[in-house]
Amino acid sequence: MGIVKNRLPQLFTRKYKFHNHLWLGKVPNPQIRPGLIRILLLQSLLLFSFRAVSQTGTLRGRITDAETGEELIGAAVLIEGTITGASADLDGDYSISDIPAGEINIRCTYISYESQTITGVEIKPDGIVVLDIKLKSVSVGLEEVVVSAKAVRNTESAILNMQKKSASVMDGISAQQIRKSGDSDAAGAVGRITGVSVEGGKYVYVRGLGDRYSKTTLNGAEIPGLDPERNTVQMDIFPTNAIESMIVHKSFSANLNTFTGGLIDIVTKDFPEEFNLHFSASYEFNTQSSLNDNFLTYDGGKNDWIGFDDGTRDFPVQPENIPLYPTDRDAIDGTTRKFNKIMEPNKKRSFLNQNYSLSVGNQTKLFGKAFGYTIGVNYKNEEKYYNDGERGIYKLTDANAGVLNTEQKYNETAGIYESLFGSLVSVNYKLNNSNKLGYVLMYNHSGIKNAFDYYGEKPEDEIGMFIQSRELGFKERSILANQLKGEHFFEQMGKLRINWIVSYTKSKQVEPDLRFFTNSYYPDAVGDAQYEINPSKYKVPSRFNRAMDEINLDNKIHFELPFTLLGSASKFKFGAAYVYKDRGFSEQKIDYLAQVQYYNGSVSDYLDDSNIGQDNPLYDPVSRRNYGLYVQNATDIRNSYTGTQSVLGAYAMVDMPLTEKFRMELGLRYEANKMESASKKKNHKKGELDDKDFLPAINLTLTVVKNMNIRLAYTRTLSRPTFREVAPFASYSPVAPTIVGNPDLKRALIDNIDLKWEYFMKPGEVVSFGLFYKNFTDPIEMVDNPVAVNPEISFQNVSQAINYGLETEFRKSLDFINPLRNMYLGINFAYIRSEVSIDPEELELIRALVPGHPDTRPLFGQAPYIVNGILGFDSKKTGLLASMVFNMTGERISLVTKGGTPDVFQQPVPVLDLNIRKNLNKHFTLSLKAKNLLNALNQQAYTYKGIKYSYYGYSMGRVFGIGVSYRFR
Amino acid sequence: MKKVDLRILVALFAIFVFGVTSCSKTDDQEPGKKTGDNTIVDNGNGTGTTTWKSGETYFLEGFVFVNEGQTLTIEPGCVIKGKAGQGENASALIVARGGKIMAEGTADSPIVFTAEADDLNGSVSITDRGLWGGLIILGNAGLNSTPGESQIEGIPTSEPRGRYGGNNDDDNSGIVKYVSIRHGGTDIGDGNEINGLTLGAVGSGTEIDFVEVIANKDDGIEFFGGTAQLKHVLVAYVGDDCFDYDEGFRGKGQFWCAIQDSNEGDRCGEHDGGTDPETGTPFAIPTIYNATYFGRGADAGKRTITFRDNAGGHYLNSIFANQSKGIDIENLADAQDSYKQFADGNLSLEGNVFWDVADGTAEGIFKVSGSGSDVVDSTLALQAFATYFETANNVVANPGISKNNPVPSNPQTDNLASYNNNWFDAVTYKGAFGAENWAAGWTKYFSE
Repeated sequence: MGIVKNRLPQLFTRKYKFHNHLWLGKVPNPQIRPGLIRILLLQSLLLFSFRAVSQTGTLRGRITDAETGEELIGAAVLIEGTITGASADLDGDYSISDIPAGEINIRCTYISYESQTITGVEIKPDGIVVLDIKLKSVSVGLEEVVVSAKAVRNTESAILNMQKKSASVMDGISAQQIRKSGDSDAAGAVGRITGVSVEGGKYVYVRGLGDRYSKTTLNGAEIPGLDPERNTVQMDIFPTNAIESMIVHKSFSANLNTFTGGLIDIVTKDFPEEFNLHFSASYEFNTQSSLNDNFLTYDGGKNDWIGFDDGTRDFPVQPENIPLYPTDRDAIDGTTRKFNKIMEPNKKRSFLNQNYSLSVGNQTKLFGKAFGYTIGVNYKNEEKYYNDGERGIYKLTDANAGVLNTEQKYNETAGIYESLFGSLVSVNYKLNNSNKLGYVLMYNHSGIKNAFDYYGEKPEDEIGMFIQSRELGFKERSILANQLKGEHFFEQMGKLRINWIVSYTKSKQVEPDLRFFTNSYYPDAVGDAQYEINPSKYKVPSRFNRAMDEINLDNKIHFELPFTLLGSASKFKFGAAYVYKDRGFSEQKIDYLAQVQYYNGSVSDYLDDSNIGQDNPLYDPVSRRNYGLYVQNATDIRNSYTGTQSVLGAYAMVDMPLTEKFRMELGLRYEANKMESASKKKNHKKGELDDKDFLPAINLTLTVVKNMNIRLAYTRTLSRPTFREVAPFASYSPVAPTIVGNPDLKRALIDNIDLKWEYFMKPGEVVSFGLFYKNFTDPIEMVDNPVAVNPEISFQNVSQAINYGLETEFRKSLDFINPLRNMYLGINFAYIRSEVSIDPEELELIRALVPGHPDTRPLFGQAPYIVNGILGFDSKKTGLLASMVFNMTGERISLVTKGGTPDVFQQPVPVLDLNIRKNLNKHFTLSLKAKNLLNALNQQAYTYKGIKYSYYGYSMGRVFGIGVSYRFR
Repeated sequence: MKKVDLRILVALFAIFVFGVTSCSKTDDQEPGKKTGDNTIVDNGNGTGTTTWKSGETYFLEGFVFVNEGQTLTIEPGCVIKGKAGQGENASALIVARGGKIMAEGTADSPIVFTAEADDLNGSVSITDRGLWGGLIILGNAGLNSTPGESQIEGIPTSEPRGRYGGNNDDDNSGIVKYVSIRHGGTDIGDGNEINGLTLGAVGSGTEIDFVEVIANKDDGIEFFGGTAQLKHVLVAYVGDDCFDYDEGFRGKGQFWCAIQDSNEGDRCGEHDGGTDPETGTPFAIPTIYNATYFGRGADAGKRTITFRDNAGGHYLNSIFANQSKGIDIENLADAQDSYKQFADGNLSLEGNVFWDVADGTAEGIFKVSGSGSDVVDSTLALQAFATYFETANNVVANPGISKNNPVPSNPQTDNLASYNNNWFDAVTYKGAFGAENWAAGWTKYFSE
């Protein structure tokens, strides 16, 4: 056998390590260091600390290929002049403990790589020295090199290196970069990645495609979204201090879960190099919501502030046990009286947004083997408030109309309090150099308490009639994710690598006692008003109780076998995946009815016992006429549903660097999906999908010159409807259309072609230019149901859509201009065109009112452009970091309307944030933030004859924050 | 040893993959009709072609359809009771497009639709509304809404048998005669209620005569397009509008009587032209002779009739009484609207009598609402419509009617508008009643 050029071109499947702590640190043992934080926290860590006071230290680090970043399993490290040494494990990691304190030289060797000697490595008593080593293959470098320990510095951005070496189009952000940008949760951090935008601080859009086309995984396994209305996972539940990296894949490879816009994989930390502890506290002032005496809320339970309902919101009587009117008037009166009488918001002074997080991690020995752990907990709460909210439904009534006709129009005031508790535990154990196991436990719980006040008109029903409406809600959501994972390396079996994960997630959402109270009034000339509750014009006062449970199982196994083809180190990968989901959703509802209206404009008077049933002053016990207020079960069984889905996937792919310059990744994924969503109402149509798809993925990379690639990819991907979209559930809002699922939905298939040129000028710098084309078959859109009498939104497949566009990225240090040497600039821009052929019937309706209307429109949710920019300052000398971040996403359809009425577009919202961080000393960092400085109106609107009509609009306020963090390592 | 590892792992994985099987099969559909206790449940197959017998009581559980091609015959004296419940639990009888109802009662033996709780002997009062759904008839006549068919209000869009609309204006959905519909209009969710009698695109071939709708929570009778022709209709004590039309109704009416509860109810007539688009054709231009609308009283702030969204229509030889507001027509800026229908002669009010309506003046009774294209336009429209009051022989006069007795003690017979079609009875009085009360004896309202 000849010399195997061990330039394995890609990192191990789905395991992205950003080993950025390459600096040479010397860390004393925490146990002998006094300090306040230690006193508070170290007690709990004793369990994990096995080191004893001694006169020896530890050396550890990672050995990688200098070119490819590939870990070099089996590479040897030896302390010169001794027989003490270690070899690199399946992560490329080595560790030598019990080294007597003092200065040593080490020598690192590996077959067909140049040997490297590093001199002057200083070992301190009870200290840990982290020293990462990069070896060059013999064909590239010399046979033998000697460097000093001080020269080994972290200069390369691991993400960019990985991006450069990847077989497919990807991008990402490392823990180090997150620390730099100062984001406290994944949502903030992921928004810094090229082509990614974050909506509402939670949901990710990649390339301006809606969240339906993005997917989020934790360690490669799917976890469910908490919001049943959404297709994706909210990102703000992941604390950054437990994150090793986040990777955004933009082109599909057969070993990934299918996606079309982007796949975001969040990788948790497994083996921290050394003990670290991080605590941070920050406070934010929102110009609208904080310290506001008029903050809208309501009296709920005692534990609302930490996001738990204390039982206050339980219905006093199960709706099905309420006697039916007019069977037992006494019993109904008694039941009606039992219900809580708070159905309108009140005003209270708000405080500041708060955020606390604590994380601890270490790597130690357990039964003589490496054991790594990271524990992170965080708590935050946030208040949001606006009183400039607008809701409206408008209609084009006539081809010659000068304006859109107002169907309904409301002003909205909102007070939203959200508290979020998150925790993540990651423990990892190396059985030996070839096998490791890991377990991740994540628990998140959030409580959202919201109060809304609406005021407006519904000329559709009656001109001169004003409507007041109130909504009080409380949502508790939780996710409990368990992941067991393992990685195995089989030297004798052709260097086979196996990587598996079993991920089991339980998620829950309860929405107890969601209350709506709507009334109308007619002001008269003298300022008095005539009040009424009119059930034929809007919903009667009502209370909902909703609960959703979901389990989500994702099992995956990946095999990777290296082989040599035409003298090049290639890889054959194959694997299987099984995803199983099971959801149950239920809804209960009670309505307040009355056989006579006795409403004087006061909600509390209306709910007062003196207005109930037979106690109503108008009630006539003889004729039994004019029975007053009473509750009835109004549960719509149709709205309760169950959903199950199983997706069996299998793939095979080869990754072949055919020549020095040309690399080819060919893969095919097979997925068999069975999905069913059924209403609890019998005889109701079920949503059923049964699809079997082959999804090819071809990724070609041509390395034109060193650091410059041209990539071409063809992939086929798919997008499936969610349970919610196929379920018969109809969600209610007093001010917006009802949203109903469609059991006839099909999955969408998408053919993607990507062409990208990229040039990595220097480590950390890139310029790229890409073109892409996507052809959608049966994409799913949100449309206004044309046969419904009242406004009703549903989901529909449209036959075909195409998207094409260009994407460019530029990231460069400004060090070529001396005064700006600590500054860097990053810009990325995507321009996308999309076209959907309007269904001929729909087009006919449109042209009835808008003759000559084009026969195409943009795809639902597709923005025509996205701009992200960052201007940063980073001075290592002074420990000062600053950045100014701007992003904006172009207007995109948020609702396809019926007929000639213009479609509703989400308007562009420019967002400008500033971050400043200063390291005060070795441990303390001060950070200042200013977010949403432009405070632009977030608006979805119809546009007609140049005038915008708000479908939904509000602004969230500017946010100023200050935080301090303590870091110990 | 490593091989063992591998095998264990593969086995473990296999267990996870194949061990999870918890797909449960849901129950099969229930049979269509529970025999024995006359409870009707629809499993999708409708009622079938069948006869509901005289003297029997049938119970509707949930939505019960007469499917396309089926004929439901209901004999005189038959009682149909809807089971109680809001939303999902609402019960209603729906005659789908292409289905037929033959409900031909007699004055002595009417057919009664009511709530399960009604013992037909005073157990529920005439203010007890919304205790079950209602009677819905859907046909194949034309609508002016696009795409030419709609889903009837109150039935979820996922139920295809809830569609109505077509192109056969002579469509025949059967007979509804001497039928009393009581205490319906349950809330079906989100501001959707069921009208007492809903006529969706019902054609002129359908015979509807002698119908009472009483104590319905929503409208008494609502027309969605179509060409239905109705005589002898009493709508009393309903929670919303008494007569409501929408989506291009072009039928005929004679002897329509509306009586409102002083505490509840909206307009006597709520008349819309189109919805989507509002200017859709054919325009809504029904013709109604001999109506008597008795409102809630001077203090309730309610209107007698509103014409808007491009509605037209003709009211002739009718009596309107006891309402705080009169008749208003909508005048919008730069758009086809009801005022334009008036100007074009598609909306007329001729030979009618008003008593205790608004302030008793022409300007007070005939109003134009909406902005007009400018102030001048609005003022001119107001003047033109008020002047029309007298030109068209409308008068303010006391016919001598009351809530309890709509038969005029002071019959109005002057300046009768002539009858333009043979379908109308060429009577020589105004209002729904001549010398005798045709509603006495078989209605709930006149038996209380």
